[in-house]
Amino acid sequence: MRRYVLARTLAAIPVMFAMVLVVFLLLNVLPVDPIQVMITQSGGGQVPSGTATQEMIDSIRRELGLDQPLPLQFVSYLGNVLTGDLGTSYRNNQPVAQLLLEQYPYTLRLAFSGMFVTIALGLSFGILAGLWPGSIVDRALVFVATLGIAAPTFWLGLMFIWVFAIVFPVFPVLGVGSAKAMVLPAITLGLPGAAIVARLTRSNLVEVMQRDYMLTARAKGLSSRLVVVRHAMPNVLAPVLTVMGLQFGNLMTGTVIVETVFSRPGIGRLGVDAILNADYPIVQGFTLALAASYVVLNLLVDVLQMALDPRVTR
Amino acid sequence: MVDRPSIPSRFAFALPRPGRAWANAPAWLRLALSPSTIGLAAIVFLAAFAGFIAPYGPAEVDPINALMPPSADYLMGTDLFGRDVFSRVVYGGQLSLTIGLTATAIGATIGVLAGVASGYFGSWTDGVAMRVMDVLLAFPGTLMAIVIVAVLGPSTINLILAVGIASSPGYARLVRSLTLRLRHADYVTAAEITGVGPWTIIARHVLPNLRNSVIVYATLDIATVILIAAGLGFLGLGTKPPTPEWGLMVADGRETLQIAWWVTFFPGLAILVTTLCIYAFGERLADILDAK
Repeated sequence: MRRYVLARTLAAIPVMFAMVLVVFLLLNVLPVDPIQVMITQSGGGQVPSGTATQEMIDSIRRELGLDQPLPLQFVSYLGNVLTGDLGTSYRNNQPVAQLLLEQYPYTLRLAFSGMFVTIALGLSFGILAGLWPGSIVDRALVFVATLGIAAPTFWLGLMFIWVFAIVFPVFPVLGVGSAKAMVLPAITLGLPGAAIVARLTRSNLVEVMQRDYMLTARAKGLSSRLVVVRHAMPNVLAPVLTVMGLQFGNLMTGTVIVETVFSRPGIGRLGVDAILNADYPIVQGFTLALAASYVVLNLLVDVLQMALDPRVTR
Repeated sequence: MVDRPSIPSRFAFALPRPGRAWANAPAWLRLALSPSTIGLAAIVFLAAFAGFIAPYGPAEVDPINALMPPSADYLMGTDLFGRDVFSRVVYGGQLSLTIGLTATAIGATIGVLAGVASGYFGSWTDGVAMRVMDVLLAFPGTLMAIVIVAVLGPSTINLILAVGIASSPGYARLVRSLTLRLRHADYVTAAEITGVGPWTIIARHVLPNLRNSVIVYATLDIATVILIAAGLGFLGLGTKPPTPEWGLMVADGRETLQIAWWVTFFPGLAILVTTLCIYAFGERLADILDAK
């Protein structure tokens, strides 16, 4: 087991390395000169870029090490990233790492709430529909799953706001503080994943219930509840867990859209604003943060899955 | 009710199976007359003839009639600038369908080439291609599209490129696994022994066998691509206003949601109906082509 965890962790390192490389190249294949952007941005957009003298540009370039050859720049960038230095924002000169750390908890809280919705709704709908195929729950699942997969998230969120915050003012439209303000964003974020999890749980359960060992369990006199909990669920859940892990990645990107829909703080908002303002150090940091979260979460899911189903290691 | 296997799980959701009365009709006729095909045809028709169907221009501003609720004059109401939402939705269809088709074509071309090459040639080609695809797959599609737009700058062309590139790893993975299976089929070995070049074998023997699977995957992928593109449009990372684009229109309606739900509702509904029709059509197609 320890060997598997180690191997899996080591396999994540090249992926992370490649991501840092991609993010580094991001700044260097840009169609614009970052220094021009920096000079315009730091003047609050007031200083026309033409006023920057060549000496000024050269000195900033030297200061940032941008006159060095590309591979050398990459090595120093890699070193900076490893020591937690992600550069400073062009616009307000704040360290990117600090900006991200301030916003990250909001995004993480939203992502976990969304994951909770995905698991709770997905499993309960999936199990009910799987135990009674053709029932009302099963048919309702078709509707919810269809909506969850085919409807655009940002539109669903706005429709939730319209119905549950404007027409029937049950929840606040915006706001961050209260738990109540989290309900609509979490449902919006978690619904697509819930649809997928429910579908998979349902089809797995229907299939597992027809296996021979289920008949054996029944025949030796176990109650229906025990049969489902002890014998069916472990086999149903293993593949569902993999999908949940993949869903977490989608959830992290989903937060970008949900944060915009509900005007919530978070790294998604920070990132999108940075893209629109050409604030590239933040864009780099934002991409790295999301990608790293994704890799780490997948790693955790893999390990968890192995704990549940030791066959995976072989 | 038995689930149909063989469709990638993210696309597979239960839809009513074809009615019994149609069971004996030829498969293509059932496909052609299914609600999804008719719906898709209607959407394409509306978009293609937007100039004749839309009662107003897509950017025709009329401040006196701003934020009018849906009525006989304005089927879907008007927005903050008095523009007819129905006309804009119809024109927006042109852009969304164009983005969906071109981005899918880009993604499919890159993905299929990478997948065939790595699956057929194996060794270092496979290693390199799959490592690259692993990294790309490690980025969720939307995030990768966002990053590419961040590099290239927000515009319609860049949006198409971004979404296209972001969707290519899926094709690569599918095609590689299918190619690996075909690689050692008897007829491929036979062709190799008779001295046929690798690219001829790929063109004559491998690609034709991949065709159905790729067609089905690409059909379903059009819907995914439209969703991602609309999401980027909503974030302001795609088309610039006042171009009528569904995602952007939903974003426009956000500010007036409290007093005018229709500005937000109808463009989003257009996306939903389009993706639903494409998914349903794709599943029918998968049944008929019996794709893996």
